[in-house]
Amino acid sequence: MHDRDREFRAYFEARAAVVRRTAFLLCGDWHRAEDLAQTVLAKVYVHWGRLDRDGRVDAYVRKVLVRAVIDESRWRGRRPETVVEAVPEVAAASTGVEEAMDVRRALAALPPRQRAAVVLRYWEDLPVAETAAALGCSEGTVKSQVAKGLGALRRALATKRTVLWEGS
Amino acid sequence: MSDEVRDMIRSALADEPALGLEFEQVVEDGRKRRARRRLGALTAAAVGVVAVVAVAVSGTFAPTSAPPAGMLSTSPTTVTSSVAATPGCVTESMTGGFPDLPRGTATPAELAESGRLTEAFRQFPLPLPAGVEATPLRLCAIDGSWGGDFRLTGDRSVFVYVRPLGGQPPAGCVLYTPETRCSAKVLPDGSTARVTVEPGAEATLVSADVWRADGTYVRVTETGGRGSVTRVLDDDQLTAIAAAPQLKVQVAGGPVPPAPSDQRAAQLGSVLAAVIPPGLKVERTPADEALMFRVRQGGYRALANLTDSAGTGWVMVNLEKPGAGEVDCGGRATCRLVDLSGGRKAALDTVVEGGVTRLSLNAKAADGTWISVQTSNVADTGGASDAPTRPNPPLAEADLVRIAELPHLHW
Repeated sequence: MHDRDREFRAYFEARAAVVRRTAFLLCGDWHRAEDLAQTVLAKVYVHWGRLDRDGRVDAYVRKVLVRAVIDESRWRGRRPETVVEAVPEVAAASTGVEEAMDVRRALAALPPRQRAAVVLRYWEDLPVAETAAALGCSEGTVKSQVAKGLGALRRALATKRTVLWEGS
Repeated sequence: MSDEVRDMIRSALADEPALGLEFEQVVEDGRKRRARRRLGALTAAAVGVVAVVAVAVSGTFAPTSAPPAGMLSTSPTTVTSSVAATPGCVTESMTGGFPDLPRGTATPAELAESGRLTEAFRQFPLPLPAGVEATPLRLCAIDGSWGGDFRLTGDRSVFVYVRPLGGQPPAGCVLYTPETRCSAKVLPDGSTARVTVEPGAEATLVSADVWRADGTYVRVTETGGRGSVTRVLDDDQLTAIAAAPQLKVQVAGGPVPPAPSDQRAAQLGSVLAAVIPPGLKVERTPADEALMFRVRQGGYRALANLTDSAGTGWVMVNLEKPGAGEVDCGGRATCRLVDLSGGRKAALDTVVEGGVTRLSLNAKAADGTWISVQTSNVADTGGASDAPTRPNPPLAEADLVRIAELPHLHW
């Protein structure tokens, strides 16, 4: 195996699942997330030498993922492709999967850039500057998108998670 | 709050299925992509990458048998075309392989130039080695630039890209790999030519960039499919194509804005300080000097926290390179248009949510520079907090307007 492949394998084994999770949070579908992850990782392989040397692999992955999801949503009419149902009014003793569905619907209801801003800031735990770089916008826009996104999530999940963001 | 949000997001992953990604599959996909990229991506379906606006070209290149003097190893290509005027064409928006991202549309002037360049290039005797033929080249509009590709006998392709020179100076060599070879020279007419060869394990990629004395920049790139390491055109032949007088861009258009520079950022300097209301103390944010412009994300940006007795807030001023488009509110209910000096307009947006107030102004300077000014009542502390740090933003709408009207605030 070439050094290039060996190095890339190490990255793949460490990060493939993480990449797919982020892809899922951005697109809301595990199958699509796997396709996205495959595409992104293949692109990483193409540029491996330069990305690895510059230490920009993760930043590149995030940028390509976000762009792919946002571009796709644009092609589909500038709105997110799912979420049409309202969050169920009541869920007594929700299971993990039910909870997952609620959060997933709430996330998917966000416009793509807002969703990406929230996921990158709070799931990937990126600083504002790096989130802005991934989204290709200003840091002010990131702050605005995150605030709006969190507000929308809070409203969507209010009946479900009374504790979440209480007092924030 | 961030831990709670993270936990909430994590709960969305509760039914995560087993990972189906396989390393070998990804690598195979990556190798195919590399090969396609080497081929230039465009060659896979040269017909498909351009949306021909009008009818197809009927002219063809037909190599002649007698090479001209001084080109013993090559035979020139002459043109036989029955088309008096070649229609222009537009490169599709998702097409890669050119320095510019194709807009997917073209102005009438760009379309006309596309047709004229295509027609003119037919008159150029391509310097091809004996026995090598070339398919016709169509130079389609990209974005104030034009490009296309032609195939050579065998599996090699040549991509041609032209644009007005604008303010770009000849750049130094960019060596992507240790194997990259790069050389530059001044041509007899004063043009500067640079040839870059990237051998690569799977395909050899060769580019000739010429910053021409006639005001046109041309890049000619030869590449091939996977395993294609044997060049067809040598450095001089690629350079000769890039220097072809027929590729001079003649369309009347605005100059290309120069790339953002530290020098211009320094000139912009502290121009904003003059319009900060008295009583507000300018403080640096964790990421930036206080209100000093820096080159960021392809433009110029100045950031600061502003403090007075009411607390600390935040302001950001962004300059983006001059471009087309009009200032508008985009249908946002929170936005209204206001008049600036010189007949300009500005879109003023006020958004209040969760105790956070954000004011933003978008306008264009007289030279077309996009100006964006934002202020909020949340100080930039480098963290994720969006909690208000004062009752209102430190700057009012009138302050934002004053900033947008600063005469020296432009690209």
